Amino acid sequence: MTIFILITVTFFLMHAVPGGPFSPAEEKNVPPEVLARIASMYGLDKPVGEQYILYIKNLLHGDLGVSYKKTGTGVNELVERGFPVSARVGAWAIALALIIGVGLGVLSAIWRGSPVDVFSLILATVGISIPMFVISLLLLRVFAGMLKWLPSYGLTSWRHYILPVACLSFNPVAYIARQTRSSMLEVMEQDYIRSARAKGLPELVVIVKHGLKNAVMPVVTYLGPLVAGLLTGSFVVERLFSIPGIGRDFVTSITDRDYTVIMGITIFFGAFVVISNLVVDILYAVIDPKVRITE
Amino acid sequence: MPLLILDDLNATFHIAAGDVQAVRGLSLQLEEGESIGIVGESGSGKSAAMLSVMGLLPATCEVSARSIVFNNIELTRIGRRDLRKLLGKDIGMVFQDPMTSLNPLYTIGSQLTESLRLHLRYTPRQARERALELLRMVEIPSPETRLKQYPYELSGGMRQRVMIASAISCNPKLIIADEPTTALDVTIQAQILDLLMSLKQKLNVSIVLISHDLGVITSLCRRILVMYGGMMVETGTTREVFYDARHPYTWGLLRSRPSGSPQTQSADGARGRLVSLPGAPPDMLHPPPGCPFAPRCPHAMRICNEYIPPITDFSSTHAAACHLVYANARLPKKEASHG
Repeated sequence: MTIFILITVTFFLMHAVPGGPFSPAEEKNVPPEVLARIASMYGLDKPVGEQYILYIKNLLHGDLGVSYKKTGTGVNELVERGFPVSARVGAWAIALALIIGVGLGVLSAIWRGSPVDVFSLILATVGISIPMFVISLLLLRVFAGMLKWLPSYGLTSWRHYILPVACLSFNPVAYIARQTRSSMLEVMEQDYIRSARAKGLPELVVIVKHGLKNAVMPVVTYLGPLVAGLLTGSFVVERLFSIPGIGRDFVTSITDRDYTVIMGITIFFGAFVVISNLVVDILYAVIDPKVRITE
Repeated sequence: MPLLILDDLNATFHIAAGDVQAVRGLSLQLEEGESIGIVGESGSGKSAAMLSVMGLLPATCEVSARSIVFNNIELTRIGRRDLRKLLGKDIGMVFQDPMTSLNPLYTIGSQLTESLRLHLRYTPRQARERALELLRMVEIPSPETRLKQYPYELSGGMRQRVMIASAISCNPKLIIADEPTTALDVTIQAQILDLLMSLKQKLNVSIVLISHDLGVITSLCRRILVMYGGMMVETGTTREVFYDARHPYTWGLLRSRPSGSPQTQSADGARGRLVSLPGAPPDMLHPPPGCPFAPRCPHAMRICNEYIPPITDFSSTHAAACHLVYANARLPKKEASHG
């Protein structure tokens, strides 16, 4: 249902934007008759409503259509090719964000006011307030431009992953670290933490088993949209580092008015958000027994 | 050799506004198998005293003592690691609020077996058997089902029984019960006290019972220690404290208990009305230089505001810290007695 609304809104919004994939204004050297023929071939001469019904019909058969600009390439094919690339970079970024974010959050909660805490506060402020493209450009300039330690574009060796993964995980690390810290501070004040200590459990067990598991809820909530966002590719980072993922395809498709690609990737992204939120809900139930009963 | 000796225990919270002296110079001895009740109002330092023994106070709290001996071990000289070996094994603890004292994310079974597996190195199967036995000991019906349940599926009384089961799981020598019945309703309170009573006899365990309710304490303890403003004001057997109280604060405490029948008249003549002590507990950020109770004491003398009263012994078990009963002073007249 959510996805259906998403499709409908995107479809009509997209057509409401002036210009089209084969508008005469852009294709100056092509005679109007040819343009008209191309338009009719793709069904673009029909009324928008009819195009919509046709599109939905094809979609129900799992067909996302054919790209208008990359001749002969199906949108399905495009997604199949781009998604694994985006997902690989995204998965690394998520792993990195979780490990560093949660780790930093926990450490700064238990050593409140220590250098670790101060460092994580600075990192979080920087990470949350500076947009990703600024960080990306900065890292590119320093590590690829000035120091020439790391390659600046493409995705052919593991060294190519370092910069884009770092850029992608920067904001999430900051956010997760802050979130973990504040909920950890709250949890460690709870009575059951005192009970755990009164059992003589080692501090590490108290912190991880009794503390962290309770404190990780808000992070899990944030994980849903984060996973969807990172796995399906980041528009900015993929473009900056010339990574052949679907984020880059999406950006190009919009400037090209490549309707089917726009639609296809939007639907894919939407479906992914829905699915990862579902996974998060399931995770909730795994962690918190109270959620299980209400399901 | 007593099981627990506290000698000149001090606990000070360092907070932004200054130093809060929660416990000041508390001394106490507890024999094996004996139980003592610590009574006092909120903030009198009774919980802080026992938590400081167990090292469970937050890091902002500084604990010092001339000596804390438990089971012939000098606790002030051992490290956290060695202290942890005692916690949950030789010292079991029951806390005030059973609703929040169990971790909501783990089953009763998992929380009950934690100390067994840690301290006694039980296998999962042994621990499970023992957990079942424990749940039966604390009279929880259908223990097999309970083991798999989560805290939210149990009532407050049941949870407190689980907490007690957890406290006695490794056959401790001492149980510290910090207001174990305060968060429960009255009928459940009685049940929990009965349970503690029968466990005490069965296991020959010493109990330190912390409460603000004298009634709760008398049902379980032979000895009472009354605290006020972080200091011991009076201690004695239950009998001595009830029938021969020497400290004006103890008189006030005894008077402010609800009487059994509404027909009896309380000391101030009002029928069936609770008597309360006028005034508020001392500000522990700036405790009075003299007796902490002096500002509220109807019998306060000038000396009370200036010097901390020395402890006067009346018998081998009975003592009070009050200038009124200081050996060289005269005993208070009968009209000042309790009602």
